[in-house]
Amino acid sequence: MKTNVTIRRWFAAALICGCVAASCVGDENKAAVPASFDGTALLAAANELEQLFSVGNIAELVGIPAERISRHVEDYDNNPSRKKLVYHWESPGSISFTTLSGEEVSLPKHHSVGIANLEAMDQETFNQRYGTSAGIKAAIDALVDDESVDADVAIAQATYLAEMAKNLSLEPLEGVGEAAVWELPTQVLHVYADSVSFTVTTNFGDDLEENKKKAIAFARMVFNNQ
Amino acid sequence: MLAIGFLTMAATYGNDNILQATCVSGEGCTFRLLDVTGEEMDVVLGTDNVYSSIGGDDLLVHAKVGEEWKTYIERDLTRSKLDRLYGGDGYTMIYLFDPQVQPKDGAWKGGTGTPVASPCVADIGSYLGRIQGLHKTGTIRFPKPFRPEFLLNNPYMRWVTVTPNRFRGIMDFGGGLSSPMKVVYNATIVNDELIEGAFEITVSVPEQSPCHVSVPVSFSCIVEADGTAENPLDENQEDDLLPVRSKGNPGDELLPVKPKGHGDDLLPVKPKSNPDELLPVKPKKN
Repeated sequence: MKTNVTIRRWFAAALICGCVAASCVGDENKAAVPASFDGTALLAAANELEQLFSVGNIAELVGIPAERISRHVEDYDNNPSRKKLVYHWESPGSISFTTLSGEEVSLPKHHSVGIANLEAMDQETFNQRYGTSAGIKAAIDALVDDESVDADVAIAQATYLAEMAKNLSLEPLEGVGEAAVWELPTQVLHVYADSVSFTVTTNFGDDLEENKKKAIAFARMVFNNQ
Repeated sequence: MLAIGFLTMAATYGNDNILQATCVSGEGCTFRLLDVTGEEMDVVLGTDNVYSSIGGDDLLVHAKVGEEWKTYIERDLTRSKLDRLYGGDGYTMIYLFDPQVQPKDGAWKGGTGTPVASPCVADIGSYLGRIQGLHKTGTIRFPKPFRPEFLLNNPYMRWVTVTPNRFRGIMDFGGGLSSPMKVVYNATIVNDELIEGAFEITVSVPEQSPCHVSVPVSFSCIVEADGTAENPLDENQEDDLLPVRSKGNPGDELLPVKPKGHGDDLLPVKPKSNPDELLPVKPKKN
């Protein structure tokens, strides 16, 4: 009799754990916009995005000690919407090459996660730019029209963008922001919420699902930390 | 339609200039289309079919290893894949300059050291005033982004980037081995407050050994700007540090500068009115 009670208790506990785990898995693919999220305030912080996240936040997201994580800000042309904030850390494996002088060199590989392309945008523009290949076509058209861009550079960049468009895969994601698109093969997540869009960049290796899961978790962190 | 025509052009004209990647492990890569061809790089760097062998789909990679830069040719990976290999996000764009290396904004002091010359019959000393006149001295402000052309902006100077912080420029008066005079300018951004380098001048004299003179140069940042400094490339030609304006004949460049008076033989030749005087040599356009 006592044995049966024990079995039932174990079974109930397992059932509860299973439900909790299932609910966690469901949350992994969501990044709801909290009522407190203010897109305007996020835009205002564009020049100091690094203040939004602590290295501890990233360590928790990535699952490695904070002391192994470095921060890199890419802000070469003083354009807030092109600013990138990237957190990176050494990963297994190495980069090997032979220099022009014949020297064999080996470097540690790195993985990274970051945020870029933060800008004000309405949802229609977001859907058009990131939900279709129209964004790439518009970028090519802009290059063609921009006479200030060196012709060789414009050609090289347009060729690159056209090549990207050929292999582009866009997956709309439900439950992430007010709208979101997972883009392959670059493995970036474009997110829209409260008249603001941003892109989460991921490089956790070749596992697409892992990259997507971490990108969504990063978007969740943006919403909750802002 | 216009874009299609544009991309068709790419297949025809886009492969001459080398695409350079500057990569830092963890930070990914930035890309720059060089304004020189592989053949020109081989000439300037004195290499034999090294840079000429770089194909249209290849990348010339400068990878940061510790404080040094290592250079290799990537023939397999695309821009995006290379960027991801170095920890970047795979989203890449081409910059008009190399954003990885940039001296600080502010006031810099430039100067030349004692020339070291090999014994020779040529009156090489007469050229030194000229060379020193070409070179910037005094308090200067570097343009942002940094371009080596600003160190010595002369239409006959061909600059190449050896590594992101090392530049080599050549002025060859005559071309090839029979050139009567060759000026090589090697410059290194040691750190964001110090640039060091040297002019190497070679004068060929018929039936004599060539004469070599080396003039060390350095620039050091003496006052860091507060971020509001103007871009010196936007200044007008009143700047007395303007480089010499070519008169169009390479042979004329061999003439020594006639000093205007005592003690000013370091002053450059007075430029004529030319708003483009400080602009770097423009890359060719297709």
